[in-house]
Amino acid sequence: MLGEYYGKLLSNEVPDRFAKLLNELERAEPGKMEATETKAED
Amino acid sequence: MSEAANFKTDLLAAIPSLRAFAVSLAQNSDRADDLVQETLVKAWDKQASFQPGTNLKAWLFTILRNEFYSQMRKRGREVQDSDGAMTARLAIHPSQEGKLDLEDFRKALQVLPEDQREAIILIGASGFSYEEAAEICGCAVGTIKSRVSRARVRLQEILQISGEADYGPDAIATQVMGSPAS
Repeated sequence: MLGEYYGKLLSNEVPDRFAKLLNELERAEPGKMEATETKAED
Repeated sequence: MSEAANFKTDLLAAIPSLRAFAVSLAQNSDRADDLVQETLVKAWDKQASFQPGTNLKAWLFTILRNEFYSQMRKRGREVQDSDGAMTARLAIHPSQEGKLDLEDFRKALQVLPEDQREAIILIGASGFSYEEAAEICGCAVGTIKSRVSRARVRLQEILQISGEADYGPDAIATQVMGSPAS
């Protein structure tokens, strides 16, 4: 049952905000990124 | 592909696992996603300290876990229910005809103290070894084993799985732990 519960969590759709955040981090200078709302435009 | 691009690809691949672990800890999807976001930002900033070839997933889980407890401290959360007082007052009755469903199980997990919940998730669901889970939680391997054992007993109590007479010894462990998810 634990595996089933966790499997459901794993299969949840990943929000686009994380891909946008990583794109923004990749463009930004290392260490300069603030942990705030992502403002990526893509 | 550049080193940064490779790292980004690896982070993207880890997001489903991070979100699942975050939801298990925070019990709230919005808060879980905020935790994942903080984890990604911190991981990106600290990427120079990550040793390629070592366990990225364990490294990310460590960051996320630290962030979770850091936020809990900032929020001034009261001492968790480690002595089981709350659990003793709460039992979950199977939803229908004696059959446990995932909602029953989710509620039962929510009642566990955080240290036990994270231990059983790391070992029973996330696929980490006891050694890796101990590293993630910053404690001894024996402590993780003890927490997993207590979590299993507590889940059985909460879910009112009455014992071997009803389910058989293997069925009890299967109901509570299931098989590890990848």
